[in-house]
Amino acid sequence: MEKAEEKVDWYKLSLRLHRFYVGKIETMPKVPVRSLEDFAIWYTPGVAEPSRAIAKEPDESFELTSRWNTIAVVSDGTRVLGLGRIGPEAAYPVMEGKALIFKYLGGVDAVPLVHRVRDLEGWISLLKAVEPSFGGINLEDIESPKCFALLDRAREELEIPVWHDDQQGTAAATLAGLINAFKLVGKDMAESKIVLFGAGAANIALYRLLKVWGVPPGNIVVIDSRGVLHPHRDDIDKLMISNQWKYRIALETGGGWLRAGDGIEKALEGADALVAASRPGPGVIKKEWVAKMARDAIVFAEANPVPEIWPWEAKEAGARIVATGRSDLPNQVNNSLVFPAVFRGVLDVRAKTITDEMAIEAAVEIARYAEERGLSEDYIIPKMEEWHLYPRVAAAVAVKAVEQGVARKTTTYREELERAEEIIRRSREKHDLMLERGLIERPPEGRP
Amino acid sequence: MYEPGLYVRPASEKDLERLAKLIYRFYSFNEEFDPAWALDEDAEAIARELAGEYIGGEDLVLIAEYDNEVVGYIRIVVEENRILASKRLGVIKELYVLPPFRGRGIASRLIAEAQERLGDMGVKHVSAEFPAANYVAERFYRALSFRPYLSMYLREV
Repeated sequence: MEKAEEKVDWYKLSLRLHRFYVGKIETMPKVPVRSLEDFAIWYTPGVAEPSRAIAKEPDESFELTSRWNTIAVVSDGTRVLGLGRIGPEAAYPVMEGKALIFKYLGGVDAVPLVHRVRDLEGWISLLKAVEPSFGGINLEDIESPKCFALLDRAREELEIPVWHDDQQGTAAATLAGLINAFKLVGKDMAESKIVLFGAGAANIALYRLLKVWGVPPGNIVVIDSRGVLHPHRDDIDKLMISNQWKYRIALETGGGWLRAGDGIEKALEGADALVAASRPGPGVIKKEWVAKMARDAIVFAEANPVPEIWPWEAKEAGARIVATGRSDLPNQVNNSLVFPAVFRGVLDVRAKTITDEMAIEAAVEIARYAEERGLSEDYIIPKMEEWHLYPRVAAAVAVKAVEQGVARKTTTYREELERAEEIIRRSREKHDLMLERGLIERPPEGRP
Repeated sequence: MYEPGLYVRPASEKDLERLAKLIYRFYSFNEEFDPAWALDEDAEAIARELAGEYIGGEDLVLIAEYDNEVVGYIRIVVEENRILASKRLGVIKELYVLPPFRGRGIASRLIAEAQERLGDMGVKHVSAEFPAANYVAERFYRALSFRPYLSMYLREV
């Protein structure tokens, strides 16, 4: 109950401060303007020469403009946070918040791009139309299953990285946590029974990453609101048309070790790990079900604001490792560990895409970082404050991009680590300095 | 190329129950696409009657057997139009493979076998009918080099 009251405070405080600051980001010059004459360099007539160079070789836009470090955070406002279809204008503060995190944690210049296009074809042409302005695209808060087709098509058709954070970001953070959780309990993930509860963006993407990671599809079951995705399900033909991603999972996994019609309760019997990304709890996952899981069970309950099962309940039921999406509980599975670093890395090597292998590389590096600091049941994944994590993940992703031949520039781990550290440090220092100098105002006194 | 364990043959009396089930599933699936595909309330019983009529009837009805289990079928009607040089056209009216057995080329194999039989009958073209909104079927037939040939529109009387 106390927690609920605290949340209301955040809402009020947030609204008041949003009204006070009227926006969270702005553009800033990064070149010296010693006198107004310098505009002859940065603008006409001088600027004509970089323009000519780019006209001759369009990839020069990555070297002569801020394009290389600028991404768009794009949403149609059809599935914003837990608020649903609230429209593009209402999505703006969320996208702007994301842009702030991109800058502060990754040194990435991100701009919100909220729009009214709803259909897939319109979306694709919009992204292609704005591609020349950006070094990457971060898709955000888009309804499922449109988001799947959109990501697949955009990855195919654009020559800059396109990332859907609700899919890949969440999946990569979850994978990082799973890697360490399995290490800690001493089980081989590829030989374990893994239950994914909820078949939305996050878990469908996680399924794909687990497969690429090496978990056989038959060891995974995915459960939606109507039960396990299974080739013998009554609505399987309908799924083929309405959600080909769920349909394919049903066929590939064969429903794992379950029968059509089985639900989460049955699925958890003897399962080694549960990843719930479904609907806010508590009580969505019951203690009695967790009690039937295999020994040293791993439970990720990622719904916000309230996890599907409280960690203490899961532990009482015998779970050994529990993770949630909340910052006030141990083991927060947090996208913010992933997206600023992934984009730092891909932008630095001018990558053309972000492959599943690159997302997995990010997860592996995040897991390794935590492991080096000493894993425990309450520390399987780093925290957002551990900012040395970000350059490392950037370096791992950049090197993978080079290896896979999707980067326009080459680099080494060491070189990218230094570059990313420098860029991110500078970005934080600028902010901190402006805050210190009062150029960023301190929030007004008095909490609501 | 073809799955081992897969066998395609004409439907026979012993397939009645399994074929009836496949026919029912085929039509239940199409019900998704347009109100005009809505099923009769006795559809399951009617599917059984149809299965009886298909077996040994005039249409070309083939069964796919996978590890001795009936997993799919195809029904082709040969239509005549003597003003056309080709005279006869094979029309795939029904094609269905049970979901657990998809992705193994069974549907393509049913079509290939049927096409061979049509060829033996001197039929020069084979076409396929499916609900306009079934984009999966469209993708499937295009991948097998079928091209758009006939459009069918509908309205309430």
